[in-house]
Amino acid sequence: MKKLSARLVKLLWIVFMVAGFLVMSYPFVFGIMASLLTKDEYLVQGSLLPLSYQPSLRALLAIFQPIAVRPLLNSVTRTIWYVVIMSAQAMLAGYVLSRFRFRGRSVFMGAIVGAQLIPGALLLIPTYVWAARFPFIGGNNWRGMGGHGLVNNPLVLYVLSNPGGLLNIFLFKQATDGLNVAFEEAAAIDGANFWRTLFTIVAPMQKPILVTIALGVALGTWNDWFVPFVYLDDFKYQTLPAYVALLSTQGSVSNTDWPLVFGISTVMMIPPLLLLMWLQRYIIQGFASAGLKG
Amino acid sequence: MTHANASVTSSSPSLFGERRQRMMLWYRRHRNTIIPYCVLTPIFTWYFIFIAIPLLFGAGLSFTEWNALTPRPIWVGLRNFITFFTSKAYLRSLGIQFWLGGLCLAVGLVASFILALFLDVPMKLRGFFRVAWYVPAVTAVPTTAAVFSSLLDPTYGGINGFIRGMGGKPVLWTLSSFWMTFWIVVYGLWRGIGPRAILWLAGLQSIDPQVVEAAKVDGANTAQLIWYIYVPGLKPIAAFLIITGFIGAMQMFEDVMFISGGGPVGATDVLMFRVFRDGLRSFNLGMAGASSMVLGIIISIFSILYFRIFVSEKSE
Repeated sequence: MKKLSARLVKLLWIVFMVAGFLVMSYPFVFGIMASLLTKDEYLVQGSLLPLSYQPSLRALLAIFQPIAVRPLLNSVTRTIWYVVIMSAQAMLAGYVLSRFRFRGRSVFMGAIVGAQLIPGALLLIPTYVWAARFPFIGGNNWRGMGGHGLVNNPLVLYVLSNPGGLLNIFLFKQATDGLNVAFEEAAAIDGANFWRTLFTIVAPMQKPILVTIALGVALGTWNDWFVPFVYLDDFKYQTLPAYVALLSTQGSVSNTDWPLVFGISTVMMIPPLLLLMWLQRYIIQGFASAGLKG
Repeated sequence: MTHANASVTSSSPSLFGERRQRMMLWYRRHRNTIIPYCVLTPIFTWYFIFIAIPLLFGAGLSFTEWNALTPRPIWVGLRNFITFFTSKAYLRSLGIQFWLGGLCLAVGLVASFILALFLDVPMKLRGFFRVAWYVPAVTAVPTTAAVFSSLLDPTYGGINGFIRGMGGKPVLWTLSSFWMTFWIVVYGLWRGIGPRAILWLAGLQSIDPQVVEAAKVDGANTAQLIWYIYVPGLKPIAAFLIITGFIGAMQMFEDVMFISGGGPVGATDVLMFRVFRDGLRSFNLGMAGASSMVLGIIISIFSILYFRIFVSEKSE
């Protein structure tokens, strides 16, 4: 009797999870199927599972064609840049704040924690105005007049920072606090200087937190549609999510090239998906640590 | 000979060498201050430029009227705030932000908890499902919201195509405030359920099974188990999810922007989306600043609460 009910529970579990999984994955399946259609075919079909009679890879390969290769390249360079610069600054500042005792240290720590209290809503508009009036950039004079500053300037993809970057410093600092200082002391006695200690002793031991930080930055930057969408008009400077946002919101529904939208979307989901499968431990851990231990 | 040479360089140093030596000594004495400041100054300058300056900028902006075309904003005092609290449109948007954001949050919390209960059952496939449910969270909003907005189009959309195929009467999704709210909640649920379920799961698994066993041996019934063991054990995670969820809900607008565009007739026009349009589309910067100040103050109260509970005691 007990065995039977246990089996029933098992069966229910599988049925529920598989059903949920099918519903959950439906938007992806739809996106892939719809991307195989032509623009007109898609509008005529209006179906939940659009099947193409002459499937074409046009939309799926568009990302490598002139129509979307610029956004792809911008996305790639921007993601790499932010991963490198954010990991490096988190490592340097986090290490220094963890290991050095100096006057003013508490001010820096206070700034890190305090910045986490700033809601993004407060920064949205003034950041734009400030970027438009940024002195000496984009034709602006020292008072921020005369040019367009960082607006419509591809530089904006690489220079903005937000309070989340400071949180990464905090995470690295916390992780280093838990590290035995004896290794670094031994290295110092052997004559290793600051950089050598950091890169050959600390960094290898801190790989988990560095991977967590880099992954968070990579996913966040790759998926960020807002900055390019708002700051840049020129197609040349768009990134993939912003380009998709432009394609899907400009014009009426019947004018939109939906298969192209879904084709680009499907292909641009592949890198995050691979990262999730390969490094799921770090993503999930990072999510938990950012909230709970932070 | 070589010995003499060596003694010359070390015992009678030149003026330059002496200064260098003194510098080295000074560096060694203050090393613990010089290195941190060399590292931290450029990094914090960067953050100062793009966080502190806009923050001050924004505080001023809300007391002005400005369209960014004239060189200088015009000081109007509290007029923007008066407009905000006397006009129905802004208050309605604030209400919708609470209602829609709160609805997304409540539905998301309950659904993700149920999912976590399922993921907690020791089955072979649960590792796979745990990752699978996380997938929507690593996608970009415009890419996945496009699927929803395309499917919901009354004329060309797939859902109405399906209904027509079944012989039913098509629904004008985009013209119904109920359905637009419904689909925004569904989208938010779909995208956010994975990470929340993982956190609930962490909470469930932090409850010691031995304690549960001991309570059972002592004769506790299910209600008592839930009330005395599961609820206290899940409290920290629940508080975290509710507070951070509320902070997010008070700023959500992407889902609205890409699925309903605030429609129909402003029924899903959350305040944050209005800030976005006021500030970055029609360049009514004063009003956008004032609205975001109102939102910012509400959010800050919850952020401070969050820090009181989670950070202050742990970082010491």
